[in-house]
Amino acid sequence: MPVALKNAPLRSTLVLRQGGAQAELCQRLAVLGLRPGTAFQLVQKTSGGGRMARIGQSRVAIGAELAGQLEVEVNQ
Amino acid sequence: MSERRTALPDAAIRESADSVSLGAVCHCGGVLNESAGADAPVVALVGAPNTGKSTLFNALTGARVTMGNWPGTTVEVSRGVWRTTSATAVCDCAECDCAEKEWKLDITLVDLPGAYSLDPHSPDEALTRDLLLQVPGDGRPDLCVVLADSSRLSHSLYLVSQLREHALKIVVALTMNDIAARRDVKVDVVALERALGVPVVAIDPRQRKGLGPLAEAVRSGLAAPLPDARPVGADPDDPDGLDEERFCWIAEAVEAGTDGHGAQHPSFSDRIDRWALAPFLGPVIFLALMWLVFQITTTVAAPMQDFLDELFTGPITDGTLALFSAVGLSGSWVEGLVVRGLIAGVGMLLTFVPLMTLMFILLAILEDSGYMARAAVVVDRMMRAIGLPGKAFLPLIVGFGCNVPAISATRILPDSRQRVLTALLVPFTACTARLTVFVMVGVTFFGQYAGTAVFVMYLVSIHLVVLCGFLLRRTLWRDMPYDPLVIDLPPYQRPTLRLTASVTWLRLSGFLQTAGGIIVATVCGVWLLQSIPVTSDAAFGAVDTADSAYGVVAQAITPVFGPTGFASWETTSTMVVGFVAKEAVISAWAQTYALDEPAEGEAGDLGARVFADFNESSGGHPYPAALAFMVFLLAYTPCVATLASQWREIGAKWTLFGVVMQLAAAYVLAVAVFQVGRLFW
Repeated sequence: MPVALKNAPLRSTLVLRQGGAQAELCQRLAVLGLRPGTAFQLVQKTSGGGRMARIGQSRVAIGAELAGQLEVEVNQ
Repeated sequence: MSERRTALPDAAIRESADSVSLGAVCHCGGVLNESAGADAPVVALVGAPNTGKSTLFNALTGARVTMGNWPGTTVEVSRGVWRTTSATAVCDCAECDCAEKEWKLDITLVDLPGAYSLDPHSPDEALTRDLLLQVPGDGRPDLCVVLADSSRLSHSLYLVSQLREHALKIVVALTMNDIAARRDVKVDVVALERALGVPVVAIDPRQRKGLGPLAEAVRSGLAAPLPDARPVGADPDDPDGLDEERFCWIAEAVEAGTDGHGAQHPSFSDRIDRWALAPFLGPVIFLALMWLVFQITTTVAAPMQDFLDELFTGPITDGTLALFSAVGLSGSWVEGLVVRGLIAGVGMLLTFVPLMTLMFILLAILEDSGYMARAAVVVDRMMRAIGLPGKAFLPLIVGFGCNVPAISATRILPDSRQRVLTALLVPFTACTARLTVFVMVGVTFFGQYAGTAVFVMYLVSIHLVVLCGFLLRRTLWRDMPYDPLVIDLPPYQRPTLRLTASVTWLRLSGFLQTAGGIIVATVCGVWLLQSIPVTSDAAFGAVDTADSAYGVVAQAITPVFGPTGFASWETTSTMVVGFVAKEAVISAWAQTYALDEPAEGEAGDLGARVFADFNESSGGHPYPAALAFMVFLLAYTPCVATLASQWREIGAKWTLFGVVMQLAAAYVLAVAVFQVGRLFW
C-alpha cells in the first residue's frame, strides 16, 4: 500500500510510485535516479523534516514538503 | 602548406562545423592562435552541478579569465583562454613540418552554468540551453566538454543523451574517478566511449591529472567533422516516451561502461552526514561553522585592515604631504586630490583585501569540501520563508561582518534570481562598520543601556531582512516557481591548496578590477564636493565644509529629515559621508564640529554636541530621534564598496533599485520610530 515518503520507514527498500505533480519536478527526480519503479532506501531524517535517500551510489536530500508529496511502496 | 597553415587555423575550425569534406584541420598556426581572439575556437564546459566543472575551468585557464554577467541577464558566465599544446601535430597536411612549439592552439573556454538537462528550470539553465542549441550556428560553441561524475554516472548522462540528439561535437570528461574506485565502481572508458558514441576521457581536475589527454581529445574533436545526431526511437512530441528512451539509452551505456554495482556499506560521507544533517545537531554544526566564518572574516582580518589603514593614513599620507611641501604645492588642490582623493580611495580599497581574501578562502574550502550542499539542506526550511534556498544563509551571516564580501558570496547560489534577491537583502545586515557608530550614539544617548540599544539594532536588522525578503518575494519575484528541495549530495573531499588558492585569486582579482575603480572614483567625488566653494570666497580646496558644495547639499536635504527628528545639517552631512563608508561617520562628525574624535566606546565632547543638536532638531525628544538615526543608519546604503560589489554581481539596474529601496525603507522606518517614540519619550 503506497505511503507518503515522509512516513516511510528508514533503511527499508522502497519503490517510487508517484514522482510528484509537476512534470519538471518529475524529470529532475528522474535525472537524479528517482523514477517510478526505482528501488531505493531512506538513509536518515534531515534537519527541517526532510529525508536523505540512497539511490545506487548517490545520496539525494529531499525537502520535507516534497517528501510529503512523493508516494512510495514499502517492499520490506 | 604554409599558405594553408596561415589561412586555416581558426576560421577552418568553425568552417569544419559545416563541412564534412574538410576533414582534419591543420592547427599548426601558432602565431595566429597566440591569444584566444574572436576567431579562436570556442569550447563550452557543461555538466550537472558538483561535477567539478568550475574546478576544471580554473585548472585549464589559470588566471587568464574574465568573469561577468551574460549580456541582458544576471547569469554569470566565465570565459578564459585554454592554451593547449599537442603531443602530435593534429593535421592532415601531406608534408607537415611543424615544430613541436607550434602545435599550440589557444581555445576560448566558456564555463556555462550547471545544468542537469536541457529542459531549463532556472534562468541559468535556460542560458545554457540557449547558448548550446538556440543561438545561430556561428554563436554556438564549436565543441562541448560534458563533465560526468563517474561515481554517479547515470545522473550525468541525461545531459549527454539530450546533447547527442543534436549534431554537436562532444567530449565527455569523467571526474570523481577516485571516489568511484573507492566505491568499487570500475569504469571502462573504451566501452563507455563506444556506447555513448563520443570520445571519453578520465580526468582529475582537482589534482590536474588527465588534462593533456583531454586537450588531445578536444583538439581532435575540433578537427573532426560534425558527428551525426543520435537517432531517437521515440515520438519527439511525446515527452514521456522521449524520457523513457533516453533513460534506456543511459542504462545501456552505464551497463556497458561500468563494472560492479558499488559498495553498499556506509561511506565516509555517510558517516559524516549522520551528524552534519541530523535534525538537531545539523543546525548546531552549521551555526558553529558560520560563527567561525564570521569570526575569521572579522577578527583575523581586523589587525591587517588596521595596519593597511594606518599605513595609508600615516606614513604614505605624511610622505606625500612632505613631498608636496617640498615642491611648494602644500595646501593646493592638487595635494587635496592626491591625498584626500586618490590615496584615501586606494587605501580604502586595499583595507578590504584581507577581509575579501579570507572570505573567499573560506568559501572555497566550504564549497570544495562538499559541505555547502549540506548547509543548504540544514537551513532550507527556515530560508524558504523568505523565498530563498538554505545556501543564502551564508552571505547573510557574512553580511553581519562586512557587506562587501557577503555580496560576492551570493555567487554560491545556483539561480540568478536568488542571487539578486539575496544581494538586495545583504545591505540590511548590520556590518561591523555600523557597529562603531551604534556604540558611539548608544553611549551618548542611552548610557548604561547602550548595549541594549545596539542589540535592538541587530534585532531590527534581522527583521528587516525577513520583512523585505518576504515583500520582494511576494511582489517582484511572485512568479518565481516553487522550487522544492532536491539536492544531489556530493561526497566529501579534502580541499586542495591549489584549488583554494586559484579560486580565491580568481574572485579577488575580479573584485579589485570591478570595485576598485568605483571606490576610488567615489572617494575622489566626495573630496571634489568638499573642495568646491559655494557660499564663501575661499579658494578651491581650501573651503570650510559648511561653505562647500558638500555642505550646501547637506543643508539642502536637511529639511527632508524634519519628520525623523535629526534634521540638522551637521547630522545629515555625516550621512552623505556614511554613503561612502560608515567608518567615516564619526570622524566626519568630529570634523564638522572641529572636535577631536572620541576614544572608542566613549562619547566625549563630541557626544555632548551631538546630544545638543539632536535635542534641538527633535524639539526636545532626543532619545527617539537618536533611535531613528540609528535605524536610518542601519537601513540605508552601507557604503560605496558594497555598491561596487553589488554592481559587479547583479548589475547597475538592480543596484540602483537596491539604493532606492534601502533609502525608502530607512526613511519610512526612521519617521515611524521618531513619530511613535516622541509620543512616549
